[in-house]
Amino acid sequence: MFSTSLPIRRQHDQLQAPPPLPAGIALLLCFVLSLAAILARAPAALAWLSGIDLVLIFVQRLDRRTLLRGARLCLWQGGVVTGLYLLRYGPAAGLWPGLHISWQLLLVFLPGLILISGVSGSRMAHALGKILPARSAFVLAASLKFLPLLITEIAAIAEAQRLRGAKIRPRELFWPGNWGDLLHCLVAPAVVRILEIADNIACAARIREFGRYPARSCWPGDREESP
Amino acid sequence: MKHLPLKESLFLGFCAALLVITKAAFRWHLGISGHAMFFTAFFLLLARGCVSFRGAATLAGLLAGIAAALLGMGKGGPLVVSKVLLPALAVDFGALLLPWLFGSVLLCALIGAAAGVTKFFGTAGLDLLVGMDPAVVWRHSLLEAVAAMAFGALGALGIPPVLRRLRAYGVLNPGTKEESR
Repeated sequence: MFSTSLPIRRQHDQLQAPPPLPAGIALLLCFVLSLAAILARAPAALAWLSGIDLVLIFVQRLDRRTLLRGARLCLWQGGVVTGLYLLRYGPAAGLWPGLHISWQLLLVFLPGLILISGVSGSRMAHALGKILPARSAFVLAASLKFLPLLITEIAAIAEAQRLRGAKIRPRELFWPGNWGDLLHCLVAPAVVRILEIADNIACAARIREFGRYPARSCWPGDREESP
Repeated sequence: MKHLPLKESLFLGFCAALLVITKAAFRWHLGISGHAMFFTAFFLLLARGCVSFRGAATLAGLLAGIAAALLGMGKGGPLVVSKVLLPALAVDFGALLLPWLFGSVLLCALIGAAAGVTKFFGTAGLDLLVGMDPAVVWRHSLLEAVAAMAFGALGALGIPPVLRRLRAYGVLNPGTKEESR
């Protein structure tokens, strides 16, 4: 019904770029560094973790947009936690503990932001297959892979409904009276479309004898090369 | 998940993916504490309402949690899984206790608020783990939970009309969506 070539081509282009770190190592590093940030208490340990994160920022060649996103989260989270500490203990006794906890929280989420942003979808799917059951890995990878297509479809439905007079533009949704239009004209048809796409993928997988073998099988090109 | 048809598993996967992406998209623009529970409650209730399987919301929550943890979203690192899983368990438990809840706006709002309450435990768990002062932990968690309850109830309000419309389209099997197996 709608063109699906654009998101798929975009994903294909992303696959061509060589990943700075293999997906499996990126996922493992993400988990280990986040856990280390939760368990670490001493400022020296936090300084080491910050240093590792800084090195990873350079290794993963993060773009400006991702860095800005991290900086905004840092400011927001740090502001709330430090503010609560200042309210509770006053400026003298509350400033350092508040900043310390904010620093620790930042180090908890930062590895994920740094490491996963450079990993392509298909390599992630292959890496996921190593830590999840084959069926769950397929479902999760397929859902993430087809998400751009789904968003394109939802955008097309929204455009068509707007042409029919539905009041679902962002500024129109500030008025609660238009929320009914959103549910009936956009959400319900989008769910129908999601069910159709799920049915198509399931049908394709069944035809390819999905589930015949316990381990996930894939095309040679989708396999992650060893570092 | 192996007991569930692939189509329904994929639908739960899409609910999980949309949950993660809407949370990511709206986090930056609103900047209001607890507003992510709006989408969490909506998509978890949608998953449970469309798939007549007792653990549907939990499965969707688990997939969303894994995706969010892997994508480095949320403030909990790997613990972000629990932040989606706990509301999902609340939704499944609610659907088990009140099988007719998907037809009632009020009951859906109640379950949405119950899903929001779980934010208290997730936030308190993470804050205590990083060594925050207990007095600040309870205030911080309570603040987050109250906001999450309100947004969870709001998000759940949209479920009955959507399910009614889907039933009218004949997309959902009329015998299965209001009665949990």
